[in-house]
Amino acid sequence: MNKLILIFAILAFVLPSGLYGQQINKAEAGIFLLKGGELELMDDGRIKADLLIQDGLIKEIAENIDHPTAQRIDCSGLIVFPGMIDSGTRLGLGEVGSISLTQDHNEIGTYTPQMQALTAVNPNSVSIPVTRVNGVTSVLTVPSGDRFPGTAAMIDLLGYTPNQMYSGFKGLVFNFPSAGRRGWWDSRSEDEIKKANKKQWDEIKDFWDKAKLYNKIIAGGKKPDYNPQLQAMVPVLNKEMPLLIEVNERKAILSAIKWGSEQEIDYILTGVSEGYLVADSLTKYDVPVITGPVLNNPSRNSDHYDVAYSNAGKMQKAGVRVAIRTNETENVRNLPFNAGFAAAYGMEWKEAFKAVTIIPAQIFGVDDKYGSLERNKIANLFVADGDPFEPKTDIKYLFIRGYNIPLESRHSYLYDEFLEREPGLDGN
Amino acid sequence: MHKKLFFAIVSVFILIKPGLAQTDYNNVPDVTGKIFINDVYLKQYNPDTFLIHDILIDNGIIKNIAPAMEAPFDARIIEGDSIYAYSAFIDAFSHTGIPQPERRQQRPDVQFRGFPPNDIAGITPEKMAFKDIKANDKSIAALRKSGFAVSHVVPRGNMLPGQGCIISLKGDSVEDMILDESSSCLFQLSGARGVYPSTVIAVMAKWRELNRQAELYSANNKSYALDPVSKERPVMNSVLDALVPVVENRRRVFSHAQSNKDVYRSLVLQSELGYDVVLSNVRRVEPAIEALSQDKMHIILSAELPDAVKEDKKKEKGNEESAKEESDPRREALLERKKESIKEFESQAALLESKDVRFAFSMMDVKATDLKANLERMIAAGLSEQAAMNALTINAAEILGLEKICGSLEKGKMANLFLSTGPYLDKESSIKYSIVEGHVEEYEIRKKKRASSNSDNSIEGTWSFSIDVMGDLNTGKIVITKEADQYEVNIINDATPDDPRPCSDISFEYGTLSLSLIVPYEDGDLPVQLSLDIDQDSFNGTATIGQLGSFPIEGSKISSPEN
Amino acid sequence: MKTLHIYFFVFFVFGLISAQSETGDVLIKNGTLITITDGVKENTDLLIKNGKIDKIGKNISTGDVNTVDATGMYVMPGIIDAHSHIAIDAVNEGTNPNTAEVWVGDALDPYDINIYRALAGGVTISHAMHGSANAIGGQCETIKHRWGIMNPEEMRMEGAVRTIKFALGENPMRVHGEGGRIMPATRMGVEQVFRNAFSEAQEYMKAWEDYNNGKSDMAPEYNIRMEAVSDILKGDLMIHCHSYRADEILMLMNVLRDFGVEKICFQHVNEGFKVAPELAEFGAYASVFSDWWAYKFEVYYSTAYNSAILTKNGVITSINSDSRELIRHLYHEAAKSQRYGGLTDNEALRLITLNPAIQLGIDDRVGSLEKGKDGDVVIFDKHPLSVYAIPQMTFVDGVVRFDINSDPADMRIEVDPNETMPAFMEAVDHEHDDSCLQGLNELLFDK
Repeated sequence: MNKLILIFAILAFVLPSGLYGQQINKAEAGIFLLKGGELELMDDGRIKADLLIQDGLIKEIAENIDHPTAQRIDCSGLIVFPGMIDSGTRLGLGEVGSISLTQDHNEIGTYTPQMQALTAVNPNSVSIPVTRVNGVTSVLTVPSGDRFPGTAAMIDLLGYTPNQMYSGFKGLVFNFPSAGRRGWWDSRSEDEIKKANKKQWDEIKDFWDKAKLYNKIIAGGKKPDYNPQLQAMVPVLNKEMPLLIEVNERKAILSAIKWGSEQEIDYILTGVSEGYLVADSLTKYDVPVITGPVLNNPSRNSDHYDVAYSNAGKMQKAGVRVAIRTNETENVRNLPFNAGFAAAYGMEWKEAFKAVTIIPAQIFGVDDKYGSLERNKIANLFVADGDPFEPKTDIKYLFIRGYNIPLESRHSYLYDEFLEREPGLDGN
Repeated sequence: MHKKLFFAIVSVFILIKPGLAQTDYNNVPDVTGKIFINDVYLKQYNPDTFLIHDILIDNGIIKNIAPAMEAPFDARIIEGDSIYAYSAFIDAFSHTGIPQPERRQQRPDVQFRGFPPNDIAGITPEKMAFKDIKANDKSIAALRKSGFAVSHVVPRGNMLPGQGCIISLKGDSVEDMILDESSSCLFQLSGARGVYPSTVIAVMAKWRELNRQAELYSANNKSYALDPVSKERPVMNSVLDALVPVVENRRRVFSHAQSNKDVYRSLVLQSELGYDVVLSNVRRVEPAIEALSQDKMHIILSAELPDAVKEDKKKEKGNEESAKEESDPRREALLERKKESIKEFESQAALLESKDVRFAFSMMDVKATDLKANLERMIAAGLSEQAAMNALTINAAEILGLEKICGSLEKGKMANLFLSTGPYLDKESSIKYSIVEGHVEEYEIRKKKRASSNSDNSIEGTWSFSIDVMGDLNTGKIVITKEADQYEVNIINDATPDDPRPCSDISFEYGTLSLSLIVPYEDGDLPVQLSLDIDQDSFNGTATIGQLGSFPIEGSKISSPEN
Repeated sequence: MKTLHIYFFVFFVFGLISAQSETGDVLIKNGTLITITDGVKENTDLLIKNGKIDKIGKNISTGDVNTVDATGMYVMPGIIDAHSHIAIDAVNEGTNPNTAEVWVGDALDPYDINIYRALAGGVTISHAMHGSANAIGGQCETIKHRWGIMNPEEMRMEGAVRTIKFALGENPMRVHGEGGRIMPATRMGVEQVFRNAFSEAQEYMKAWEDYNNGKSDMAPEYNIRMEAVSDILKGDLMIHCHSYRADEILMLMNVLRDFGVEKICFQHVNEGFKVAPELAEFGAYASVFSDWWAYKFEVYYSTAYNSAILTKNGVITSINSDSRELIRHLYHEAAKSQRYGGLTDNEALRLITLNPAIQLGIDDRVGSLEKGKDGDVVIFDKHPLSVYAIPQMTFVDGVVRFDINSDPADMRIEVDPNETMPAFMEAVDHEHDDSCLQGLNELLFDK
């Protein structure tokens, strides 16, 4: 009888972990000492050094660090990289593509700049862990839709409320009118498209003029009637927030540069898939560019097959500040591969890596806190056994805001459960 | 006052049904069926020369062609001095006479999209084209004016629209015009909207199925006819009935095959299903040329060509838009390729000639007035004049099985010819007379416009017009504006200055502005068609008012639009 | 530049209707050969004669044959995409839940620029498929990427197994249940579409058998749809089935058992990993995405580790694209199975070579570098599983169809004479949402 009780007792400890499978690990706060690895410092090369994470920051970078209570993480043979930043996504704003009620990035209305992406972010979106295990630690999540769809926000991929996740940058989105076909099913003639374009421009000018007047009235001390649309434009007109202008076709890019420069605002061009043709205009006006996805088809049948692959590199070589984005919702994890293809097709590796780290941080004005391994920056970083752009590489450790993040997601849970399914085949 | 009189006269004539020959005193009928054309030039090839002959026509047949004949005393004489006679053209494939359907048919309301009724599915091989032809459709007169006398008309529709017919382009009623009421079975690789078969792959599968079903149907019917005892009665099927002659090679299939891929697909079907097919309205023969130059292939080439590249347009636009467009580094190479592509299309006819393929022309996609310009481009690309003329005449007759009665100027054939003020292909010459089965139509010769000086922009503005309708003078204004590439025309009658009439079906080509509009009168609406030849700041032309007839109209420019 | 282009154009244009496809000779010297079936051979030569692999070995000497120096480069079999919709003019005959009779091979488009772009990504063969609008869609065609030919017939891969597209789950339910208000609107209904079709086909075959044996003297109706379904039951037409949920995958295997159909390849099969043992037992194949998920509810619970789990459970698995974008870097998609599941180099590369060949019934002809197989070969400048690898030359039947050193920008075969600058296509967000449901705008949306 005692043996039976003993057996039961043992089983009582063993079985639960067997039956209920995975332990859900939580983000771990603490002090962490990454010892013996190499640090990727981009323009300053790669150095062998230790890195101390404390109070959510990179506290120290030095040859031989010691700390009495820190958790030591052996990084010999491994490389420490700054966390990657995807400068254009809809992460957290959409859960299942075909179910519109799970899509929160596209509100009704042509002029809705007041829509705040940040408040609609779902901090518990299944896609977030899926993304960060590939080394992407922050993203800009962007509303989509018509002319002025809303205000984008930069978030770190850790937190349980949007405010916890917020990284401190917002930008107003402007979808520049384009002269292109909307899809392979759009069969309008060139003239019809031109006509529609002109009409759009007239409306935009009208809106913009109203916004300027509204701003002028406020500046003069008077309080105009409640108008959330125009109110949202005020920070842009006062150069407190940049305009993110989404534009891709060559002529439209030139028009956007001209327009943006005339308006006395700060602006960033996003998309820019034909940017390589007008790189000199981009450098002339020092326009920062967010481009991508790199893994994309050429926009014209007559274009060279690799124009999307080589676009970022060509612009960067001409002197443009280029950041790379995926423009994805649930597969933002492919950011390193997008950067990898840019590096394969002409962009220097270092520049490609900068395009997903320090450059977007600089463009968003948060490079005092993000984008590289430097003392007193936020501890967003990961440790890998090789080049993070290579699929074969494994990511061993991940830190966001100084928390040690478990390298788990729905995808890995399913792998754990089903690699060797229990019960297996019927009757086994 | 003018307006009331105008409308009063109009209403009087509308109440009387036209076409009652006994009491129709608007026109005077022909006095005699005998026509003698005196001393015309006839084109000969090998060697290239012109002979001077007389032509005698009686009751729609060419009685004789010879030099220095004596004119019969009872014949109508047409002086052929410096006039050139040609065998009238045959349009081998088009929808001539069948009006365009109303715009944008509604999506059919069918419960099972996969099993629609045959007419919605586009499967109506039993339908006959001649039933859709309207004898007074503008296209018939337009073809005649451009030198045509015969047209092979196929029905509009999707996959199997029906049977084509051959018509003579003259006559007050369709029955008068029919030369062959069921000359072909039309097959197109186009699917029905929203119901089966909607894609080209479904059309091809359905066609295979229908063929096999028609074979079995015929066999079953024959077997039952031989001995019906103890057999299940075969059910009648009008679609398969119409296809039995096709599978038994008694009715030719004309396969509408515009692109390369359509040509290849038609050839694949032909080799599988085993009967002769006429590839129709083909635009490119080049890649498949080896297969097409086989013995029994019949080809009808489209007379339509892509627009040539306009060189001067670039210089006109001085604005920023076009400057940006031109500085696109890819543009030059792409323009080169476009030009090459256009040249390829232009040289398809010459290619067929070089392979000894006897082909005809289809007027389906081309305006009658554009034919000559397109022929000139094809000739510049290598087609010989003789081959071009043959394609329009004897080759088409052969393909349609009419070579005994038309296709050339020969004794005994139908009197189908046209008389031109110069050699047909000369830029300056125009057609003065059209003779279809002996019925003569004369056309006014307008001086050729200086094409280059009359660029599209200049017709915008306000014009004055005046028109005399049987003694009643109407005047007013025509306001023409242009948005992108679309013209907008409004006509204001001085008698009703507050009622501008908008115009539709506007087109402006080779200096001629044509449009339609509706003028209201007491009991309803009066359709009016205008055809105005514009020369710098003045125009003259014709207004066709309902059933009333045609009246000359003229006018001049008052002002240009502000820019 | 222009002359180069014309040279290339003339070089490849043959205007014959007959399906004689061009073959070539080439000697590839001194490369690292990834044979798939016989390991990796360094500093080895590969000789292709008359379009077939003739010799593999060191220092092959031969007469006057075009030679390519592959020193420092990697040579692997041409990549095969088992799920594609490029090069066809019609994808979905979405008017009925069963349209087994239509055949995309009737509508091949050899001028589709995406063929060239696929070649630039090392893909030599693709499985041109009907879309997923219908439970029983249409017959597919395995095509070789012979860029430059003008005759659609010449694109066919002669002798490839005939295949037909089935579809389970949300797509046919959306098109017919929601769109047409007819069955199937649920997964229960999808099952009945198959049982109906198979049962009716059995009756059809019996009626014709009776007629042919003289038991009846009036021929039954000829029904081309039933002919096609009968071919499936006879084993002459192999099913490739678009599927996602585990339960529907099991459903179809059960239906097939009931009707005696033994071969099937599941496509996408995002939840295949949940029933990997069952798939392996049936002998079913799986052709999956590398990492697409969450675009529909039925793929919300899927994982990028799918190909690894299936492979390790003994299911013959391939990675496909179902996309004119992904097809250009399938070598990179295969590499992802090393991050998600740790497959070895050879296991990963098998996913895009020999395995899809087996699934398409062409593994006697392609999928590995072996003597006697077709000369479908790709040369990479780096190991193909590296993100930095760039295809240098792609051969189909020994003929160069892509050469990075002779690759002008505008590779179009046919040019629209009415258009100077080809239209600019705005970026499509989620191309995969549209790819399998192409051509259905009229049926799905009231335009």
